[in-house]
Amino acid sequence: MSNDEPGSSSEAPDPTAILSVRDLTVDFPTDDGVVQAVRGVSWDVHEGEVLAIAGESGSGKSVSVLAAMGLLPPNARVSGSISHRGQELLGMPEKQLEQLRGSAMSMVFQDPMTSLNPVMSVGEQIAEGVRVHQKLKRQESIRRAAELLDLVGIADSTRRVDSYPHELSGGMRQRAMIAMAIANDPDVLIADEPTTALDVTIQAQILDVLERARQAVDSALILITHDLGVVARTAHRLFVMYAGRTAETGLIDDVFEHPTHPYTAGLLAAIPRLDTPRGRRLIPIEGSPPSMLSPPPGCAFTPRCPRATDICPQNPPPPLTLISPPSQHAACHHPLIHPRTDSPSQQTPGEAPDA
Amino acid sequence: MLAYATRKLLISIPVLFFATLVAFLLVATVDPIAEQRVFLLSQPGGAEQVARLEASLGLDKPLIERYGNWLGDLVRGDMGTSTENGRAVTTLLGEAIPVTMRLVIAATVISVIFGVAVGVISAVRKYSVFDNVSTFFAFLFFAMPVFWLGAVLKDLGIRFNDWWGRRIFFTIGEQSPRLDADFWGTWADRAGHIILPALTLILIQLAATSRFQRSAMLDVLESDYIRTARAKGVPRRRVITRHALRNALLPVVSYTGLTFGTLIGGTVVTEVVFNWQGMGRLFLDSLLDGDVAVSQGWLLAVGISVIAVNLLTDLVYGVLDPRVRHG
Repeated sequence: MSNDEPGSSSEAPDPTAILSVRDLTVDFPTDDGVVQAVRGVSWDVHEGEVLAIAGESGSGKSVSVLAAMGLLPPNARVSGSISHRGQELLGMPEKQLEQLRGSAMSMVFQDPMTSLNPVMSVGEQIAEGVRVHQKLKRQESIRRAAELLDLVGIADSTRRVDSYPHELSGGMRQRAMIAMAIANDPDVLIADEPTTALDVTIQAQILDVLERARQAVDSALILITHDLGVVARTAHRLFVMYAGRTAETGLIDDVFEHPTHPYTAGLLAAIPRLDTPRGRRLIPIEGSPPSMLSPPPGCAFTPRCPRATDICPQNPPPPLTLISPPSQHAACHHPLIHPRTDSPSQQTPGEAPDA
Repeated sequence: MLAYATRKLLISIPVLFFATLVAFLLVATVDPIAEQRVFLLSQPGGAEQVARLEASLGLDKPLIERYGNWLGDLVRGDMGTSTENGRAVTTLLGEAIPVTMRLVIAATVISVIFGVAVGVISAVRKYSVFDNVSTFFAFLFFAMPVFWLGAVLKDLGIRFNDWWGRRIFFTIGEQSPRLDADFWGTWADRAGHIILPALTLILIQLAATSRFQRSAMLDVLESDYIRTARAKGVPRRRVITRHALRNALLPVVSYTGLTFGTLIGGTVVTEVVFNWQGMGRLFLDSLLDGDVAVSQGWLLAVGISVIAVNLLTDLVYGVLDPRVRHG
């Protein structure tokens, strides 16, 4: 798959990035056919940066980071390139990848109720992650686990190390997961919908803990979410995915200020905001995403798009193009051009990424 | 853990009491002299003879009183005497239980160890040659009746001995009669006798255990916490042994406890096939002879062993799973 785009992500991985993804595709062969979960996606995350990857369920956002971690099920077919500080991860021997997982890159998962081993104490689960990567005695690693629990705001941590997951609340478990993820000072922390499974009342707390933990180890953060409200307060840069492709990417403030892709605009219009006038209804995006078993040949957003024209269902969206300088790129036949910016030529006809 | 163990132990007490009731009633509600009664009543003066017979067996007393007496004797360690040979039931059980225990323990330990190993390898290498071959044999042996598999193995053992020209497998009895050997010689002789009957039970038990372990393991390997362990960089082997196996053992522990009763049933049949003088033979003879005290004592002994094994299962479960132990 070639994706010659003049825009932000060029062919070669960015060596200054901590994690650099190029033309990533992920397919899952199933009995019903091949599910094309990710269809040519490129992004970078740099030192200390918080990158939010947003999109609906099934948009391929989780799959792309699981590919980076090497945690996809064995039947997944992955192509493209994922590199960590210039080192290619795809096709790396499992032994070598194990050394990176949990130390250079680590991950917090969506559901803290099922993501912890029910028959192992929380402290032991954290300490195990420490011992896998550092030469520490058992006793020292447990002490380190207690320190980490302290850091994520679990009170009475020296006693809590002996607790089993079922003795902790959902919020506490997610804190423990975060403690586990930062145990070896990772360069990049990946959080896959870290607040989705939690009560609304503690979602904000967990986001704070995550940000505090990130700052404590000074790592980059990839925050995967379907909730743009979650993204607004934490992320520096936003990457919006739709049906396995990139829809839009840009600095968070710019994108929130004036989204250039109709899908991003739709997502933002669907968020309840404090400054929305009373009585104004939220605007949902009608319809649902396409089946990834047989994604449409053209732009997958067409049936739900208010700006769609005849070319949209036939031609795949153009490659990511700088729509609104300095940061905003979109892959759209009819992007929303904000009046204040001088619009570049919005279309790159002919050249389109093959799907 | 101590509180949990105590609770489980206390729960066993009413169950044990209930077991004595069932063991007593199952046998006591059947008329042990049904045939004689018909014959005697057709004779002149037969009614008095029946009454005398009933009195000698205690059948003239109400059921509840008979149960009370039986229970009272039981508490004092007296389970009655056999009507066939006049020997104490406790003595008969004392002779038969160790013989059968050898078979049951050997079959359980070996089938669990191999069943877990085969199940885990099958799950980790799903659809590999190993998995497919073990699946085939698991279904093959699982579908076989115990008595038939026992007979086939016995036949194969004899053919093997003939071909080898020396007796390797003994097919009759639990040990050679009038064997005069030292400690090691005795156990070597016993080993030669136990192989085939134990194998009969092992093959069938192993089939079920390995299937159970395989599906439990496949379930666990799909779970989120396994992915978490891998995300920590835990090496694959350790993920399987420390994280997956520990969780996947739980259903197998339950299963092993639950099927212990079935295993006893299989042992009875196997003992008969291989002419062992163990619990199987004792029970069968007591039933055929209408030997009430022996049948009751046997049922109670087996009942107690099932209760004890389930208690043990609960304790192992408690050790493995903190949710149970704290619950």
